[in-house]
Amino acid sequence: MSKIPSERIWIYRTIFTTLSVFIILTNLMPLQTTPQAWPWPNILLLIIFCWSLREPNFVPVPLVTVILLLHDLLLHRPPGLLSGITIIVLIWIKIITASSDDKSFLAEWVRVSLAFAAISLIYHLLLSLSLVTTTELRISLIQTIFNICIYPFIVLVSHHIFRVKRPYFTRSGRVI
Amino acid sequence: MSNDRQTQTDYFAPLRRLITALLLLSLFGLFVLWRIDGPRVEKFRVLVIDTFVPSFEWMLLPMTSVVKLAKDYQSYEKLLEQNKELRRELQQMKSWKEAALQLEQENARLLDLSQLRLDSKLTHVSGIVMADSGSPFRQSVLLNIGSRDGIQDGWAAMDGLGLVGRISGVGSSTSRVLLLTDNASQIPVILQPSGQDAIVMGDNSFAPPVEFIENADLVRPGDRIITSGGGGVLPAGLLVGTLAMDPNGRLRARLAADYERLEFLKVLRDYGTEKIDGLGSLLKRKDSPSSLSNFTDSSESRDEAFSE
Repeated sequence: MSKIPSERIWIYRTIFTTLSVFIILTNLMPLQTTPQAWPWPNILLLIIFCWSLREPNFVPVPLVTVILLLHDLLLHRPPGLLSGITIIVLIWIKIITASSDDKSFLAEWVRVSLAFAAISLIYHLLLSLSLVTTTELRISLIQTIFNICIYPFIVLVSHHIFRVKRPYFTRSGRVI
Repeated sequence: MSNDRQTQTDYFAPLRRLITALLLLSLFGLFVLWRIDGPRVEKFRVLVIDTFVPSFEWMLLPMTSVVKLAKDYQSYEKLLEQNKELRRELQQMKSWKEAALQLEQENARLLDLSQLRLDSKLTHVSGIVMADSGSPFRQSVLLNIGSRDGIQDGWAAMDGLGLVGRISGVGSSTSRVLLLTDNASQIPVILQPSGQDAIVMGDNSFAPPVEFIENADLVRPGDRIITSGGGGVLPAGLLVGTLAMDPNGRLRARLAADYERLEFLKVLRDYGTEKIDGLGSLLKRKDSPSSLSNFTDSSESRDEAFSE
């Protein structure tokens, strides 16, 4: 297991919280008062997946739950549903990654892409099953594709700017 | 050392699993609760928004203005073109202004003749747009006025010219305006000059379709769309926009309000027209009660549908 000093963990948890609030606020900025044809990628989701697969300690599940629920409430989505699905898929991806031998980035990207698609589809399925007037599936699918395309950039930014790195990136073969 | 660590994590692992399970259960529980008892959870949502958003207003406002500044800067490149266009428009406006002035004088004379007093209740509260819906799936904005300013659910929000939407969700210092372009927005309107009733139904596109026109042969693109006040949904006579036909031959509303720049909105105070409860005993006929009660029922269910 990791031996990161606890100050560092807490610093990163604070950074994650601040970053999440900042992302939510940028979402809320009153700039898109007209219907948009091209949705922005869901950066918050990308960061959660990227950091969870690198340093799960920085983004503990309870913190992610609170942030996602806040996101749901502020963005007028059905509260709890998307957060719940996201967390289940996140845990599932973490288990798969831990048990998999293929530690390359390509494998991770494929897994994360499948996860995003699964989240979006399950979300829409459950919404239509519970007879909620569904938001447009088309926009949601475009957003998923954007998410998948942007993911490598988020990984790069996390790696070089935030210094959130994969344990198996170290040369010595030792897992920190 | 590492062994210690290992045992420690093993010790905590079941606890962590339990917490995760509880969290997931509460998340899905919240969703189910929202499905069963929507208004209560929505009240909770309004409370969260009401505490969260104003506390970050100091950050939200400068951030927004910086981005807007950058966007405006881009438009400076087309300044010359814009200037010419504006001059042309100004010329047209002058002729309209002349017409308006003459009409105003005539109107004042007529008002004086008929000794009409305008309803003092028809006033408005202005609010600043603090935030939008934040996602491409919903179309709404958040105003910085709320129940402490006397705002109530269902009131009409307008920009300078036309209807923008209606209040749906009031916190103590914030209120949400559901825009006409949102999927959930349905507004009863009248098409002038033909006087046909219709409903403007938002569909997350720039120009919401106009549906349920009684006789579509009587209307034509360019007709004015104003609210009808049907079902007590909004005050009657607010300008919504003009009718237009899209390439598929579907009638849509070209909205009068400038949705690109929603910075200030005015919310019209509207305490509704007095309802007549029960059947007037003088008017009551033996054979009619069933049809009349049907009518009141349907109007109530329409009210519910609109407040959704």
